[in-house]
Amino acid sequence: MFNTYDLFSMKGRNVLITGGRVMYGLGATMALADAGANLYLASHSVESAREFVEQLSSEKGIKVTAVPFDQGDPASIDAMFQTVIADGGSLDAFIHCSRTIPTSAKNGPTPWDTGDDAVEANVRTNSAATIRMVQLAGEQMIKQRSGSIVVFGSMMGLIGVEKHNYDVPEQNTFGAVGAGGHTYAVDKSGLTAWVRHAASYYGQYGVRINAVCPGGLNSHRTSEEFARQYSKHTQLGRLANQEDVSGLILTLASDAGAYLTGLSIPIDGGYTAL
Amino acid sequence: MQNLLTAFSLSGKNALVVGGEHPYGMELIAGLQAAGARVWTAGSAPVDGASGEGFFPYRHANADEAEALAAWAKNAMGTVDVLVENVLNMDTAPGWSHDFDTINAQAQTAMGGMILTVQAVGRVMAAQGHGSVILSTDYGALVGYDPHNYGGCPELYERDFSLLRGYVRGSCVNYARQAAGFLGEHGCRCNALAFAPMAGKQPKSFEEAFAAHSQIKRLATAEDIAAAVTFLASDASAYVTGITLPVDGGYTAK
Repeated sequence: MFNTYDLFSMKGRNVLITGGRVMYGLGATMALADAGANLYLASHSVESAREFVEQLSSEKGIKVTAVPFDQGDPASIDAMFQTVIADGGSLDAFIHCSRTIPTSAKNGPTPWDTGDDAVEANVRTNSAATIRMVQLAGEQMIKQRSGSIVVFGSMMGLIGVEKHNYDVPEQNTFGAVGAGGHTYAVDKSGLTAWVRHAASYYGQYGVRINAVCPGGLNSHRTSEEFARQYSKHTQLGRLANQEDVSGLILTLASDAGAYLTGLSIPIDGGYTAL
Repeated sequence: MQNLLTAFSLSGKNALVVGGEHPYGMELIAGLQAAGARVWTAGSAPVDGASGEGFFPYRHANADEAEALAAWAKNAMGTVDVLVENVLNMDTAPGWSHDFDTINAQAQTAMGGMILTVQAVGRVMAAQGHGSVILSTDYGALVGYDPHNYGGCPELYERDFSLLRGYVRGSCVNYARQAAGFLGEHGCRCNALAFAPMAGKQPKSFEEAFAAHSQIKRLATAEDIAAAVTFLASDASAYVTGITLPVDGGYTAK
């Protein structure tokens, strides 16, 4: 007999996570830390991550290391993987939560008015950088003949926009009806398809790749009116919290998800099922 | 009720096909023409014998170029009733290992280029108050390619198992839904077509393997491409928007 809880253990596993200190990324980090992972946190500033790293390490009793990372700099991406693999000796899971939000002086009020510089930056720092990062993680995992990659898609890669949700004052509209909406949908739609494409390739090497696709997060940027409107379109009647992704991330990263690959799983309180 | 067949006719409609030099381009152009449309083309090179009424050199480079394309189209065509964007069917760099610059350059052309083209030509359509945008891709937008179909075809495997291919091919699926929202307010539509590989253009062993995994047991023909693009371009699909229509003999339905 096996112990089901053991399948979720990340003890002795080297895990690299981007964007792991905020929003959904924090929910992912906490799950992996509780499961005992040896965590590498990709950080734009190792210095500013220091307090978080020390606190997480002492509270959870795990090894946590901050690694320099700049998503807009290909050399930094290469160096990050070299550092982690040299230090850990393996890469058992790569969790990519980080995203850049390119803005532009040319942006207008709707997705039809997205500045070409913002389109360029989005494709470069999100789509191309994600592809390159997964390629580098996959190279190591192919050598090991094992590993799990989890990338963040979005509900906005699965469905179109319910525009009247955003007809409320003071709501940050990036990723939906504001400038950037098109680039966000194109990136996340591409990612969803690519997870299946990459799973086809990596499967023969025992490497898995999946995407989690969260809905709207209840954050400091969420206006009350937006939360009310949006929640009506979910089956559970609320926005998501950070920890809503924790269980799924751990399942996909650990042996509990050993037979899961090529999936883009919505975590949206039933938004896309309505 | 009117004769339904007239709703399928593209007679009197003007279509712009962008990226016709990529796979399926020739068949898309010929299909639109066969349904009665006048077709203008834009791309890195004219398709042999299929430039249509006029050709605009277009590299999917930047917003200025996209605006120039839209201005040219408006001037040359009068009204732009149909836009077919075929850039996502470009050949991406074969194989799984590429440096960042290679990945980025191709993602910019395909994904960035598609956005800028649809933005620029979509504004022309919005001003007209009608138009149908069709994003052309292949079945990789919907499922992963099956390595088992590629036995004995190492070159084809390298071509299709290209690192960024699925990302490019699939980027239109939700873009069609997203763009449909904004085009819809102006009486315009946006859909995508996801084609199976063309019969007669693949190695025999791949054709046999792919056909065996489809429901209709064959690959796509020029007529299949023509019929699908005619449906989405024509008034027969007036109430259809935001969808990705698989044209794949049921390959993705199992």
